[in-house]
Amino acid sequence: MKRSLLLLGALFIASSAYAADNQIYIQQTTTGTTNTQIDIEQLGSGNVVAGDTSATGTVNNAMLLNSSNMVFNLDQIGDLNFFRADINSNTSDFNFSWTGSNNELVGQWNPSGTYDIDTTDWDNTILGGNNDQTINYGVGADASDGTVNWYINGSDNSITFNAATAVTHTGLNSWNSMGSISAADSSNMSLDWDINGSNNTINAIINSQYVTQDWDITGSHNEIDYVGINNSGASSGNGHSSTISVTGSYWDIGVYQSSTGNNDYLNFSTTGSGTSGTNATLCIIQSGSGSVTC
Amino acid sequence: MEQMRLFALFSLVLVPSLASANIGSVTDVFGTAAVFREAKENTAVLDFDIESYDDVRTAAGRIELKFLDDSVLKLTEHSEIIIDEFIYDPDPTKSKLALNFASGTARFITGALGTIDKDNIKITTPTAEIAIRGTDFTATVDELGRTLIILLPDEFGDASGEIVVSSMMGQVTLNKPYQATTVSLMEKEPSSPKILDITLGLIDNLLIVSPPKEVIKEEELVEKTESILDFNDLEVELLEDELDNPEENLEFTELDIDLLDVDFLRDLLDVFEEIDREEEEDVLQEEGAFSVQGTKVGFDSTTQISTFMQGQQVVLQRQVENMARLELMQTTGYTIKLDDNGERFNIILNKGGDVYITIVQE
Repeated sequence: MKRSLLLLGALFIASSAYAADNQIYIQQTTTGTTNTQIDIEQLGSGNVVAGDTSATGTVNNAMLLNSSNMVFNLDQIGDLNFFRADINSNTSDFNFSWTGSNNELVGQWNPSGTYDIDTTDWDNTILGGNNDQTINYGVGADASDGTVNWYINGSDNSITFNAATAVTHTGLNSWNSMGSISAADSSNMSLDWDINGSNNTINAIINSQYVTQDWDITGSHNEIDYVGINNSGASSGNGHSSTISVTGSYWDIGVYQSSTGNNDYLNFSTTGSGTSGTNATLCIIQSGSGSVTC
Repeated sequence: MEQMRLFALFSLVLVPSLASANIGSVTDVFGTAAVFREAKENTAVLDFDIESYDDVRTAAGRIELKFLDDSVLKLTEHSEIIIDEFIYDPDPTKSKLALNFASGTARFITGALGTIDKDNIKITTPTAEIAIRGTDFTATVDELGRTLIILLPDEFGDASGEIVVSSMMGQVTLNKPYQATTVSLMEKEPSSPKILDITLGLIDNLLIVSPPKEVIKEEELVEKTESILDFNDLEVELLEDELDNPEENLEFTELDIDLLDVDFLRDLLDVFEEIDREEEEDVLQEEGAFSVQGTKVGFDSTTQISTFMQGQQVVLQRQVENMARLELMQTTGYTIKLDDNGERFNIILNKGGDVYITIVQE
């Protein structure tokens, strides 16, 4: 087991042996911190990177990080690992890598609204299967001009990515009712999804005037559900622009580009298909009403 | 053009040395018809002698000629034929025939010449050459020079002979009763032969020179009209699998039929061309190994959808206010529903069923 941690700025670290093999707790609450750099590499199974457990005695609390110009490199190698975080930052660079199976990430970016998360790059690599990641990005502040690159090489992974949605949250353990983020915006966000594997499920919601997504999917039985909302303010060019390329069969893809303008763009291409017994399905809705269904 | 058309007319010559000799005569005439000989117009009357190089024309009339070998030529209204060469000899190898159809509709029933060598027979139209053996056939040439040839049966209902119709690009053989082909351009292949569901009585009615004196009772007219409904059924049958709305695509419908009007043969040219166009599209689709329903290959002005091959993929693209572009496998079945601001299109690619695509744009 190897742990590597480097923090600049105010830091609280606790380590406990219960409930997991290795646990890293981070709480950096000071605002105005800049140039934080964190490098974590965990090897093995059942490791945790999360928040202080002293209050609850569980590992369900998220670690808390406040900093601008943050560089956070995370590499969890093994199975059954946990990563839970509330990160408030801007102009930052995140490089996360997960190698193994049955790992779980639950994260919020800017839940407090202390920072916006503008001009932030995030590379998220998943090498393995049965991983579960739920990310609320730009929860309490804008997430404009950001880049998120997903590389998923494995099967049966489940990803939920909400970028500045109107979903409300009240607590870490209740993602669906924690804080209002209705005013947040993730305009000019660029997402690249590179998925190699089968039976992966991706659910993404992005609130943005302008967002560009490039999906490259190789594998069968992958399910994609993407909702893009609030591009009505887009005054020129394409508000929501998605290019989806699928190499594989039996896919189930839904794209909802909700706007009142005529500036949504979708290019879908495939070399795979379904069969008469097991169909492949594609649903594309470009509508401002929000009530249209396939 | 007119001169070219005239030059290409039906001509019949006995022998060069006997160019001015009688090679036949007018055996029936009705209405206005004339025989032009050495630039002089001669009103066609019964028993008027026919000579080589005669240019026979009809206006509002019909005419029947009989040649020395008992061959019969009938012309309908607004037709024109030039007799180029006619040589009759009891020895079939020494007989020759050269006719040029210029325009209109004619029926030619060969006599003894039906036994002469094919190489000694030359019948031309502006777009086709016709080789015959022992044949009864009609030829129709429209104002564009397009040619329709129909092989007629003999008295026993069998093929009256064999016709080889040629253009610069190929040839087809007609050897079944009522088998027909068209040639729209000399630089284009004759259409594939198709058997028409018509009757000899219909052809006779169309080519009758002297109409019956008695007034046709209304019931009889209805009966005769019904007798040729099969002809229209044929057209529908030929196209029913190929045209969504055949009656909209064909200029000729059953309502257009008139027993005393031969224009429907000219309309058949359009029918054949439409069939050929559809067949060409089918070939294109087959070559591309995909079929599509609900929109046409290429740009469909109705659906505003462009459908085309790009590499090994079929591309469907629609761009009006919104844009949707699908790049799909050419051998997979797709069921596609496209709703663009309330305009709904159901498209089936390769019989559908493998992939379901729904697109709603508002």
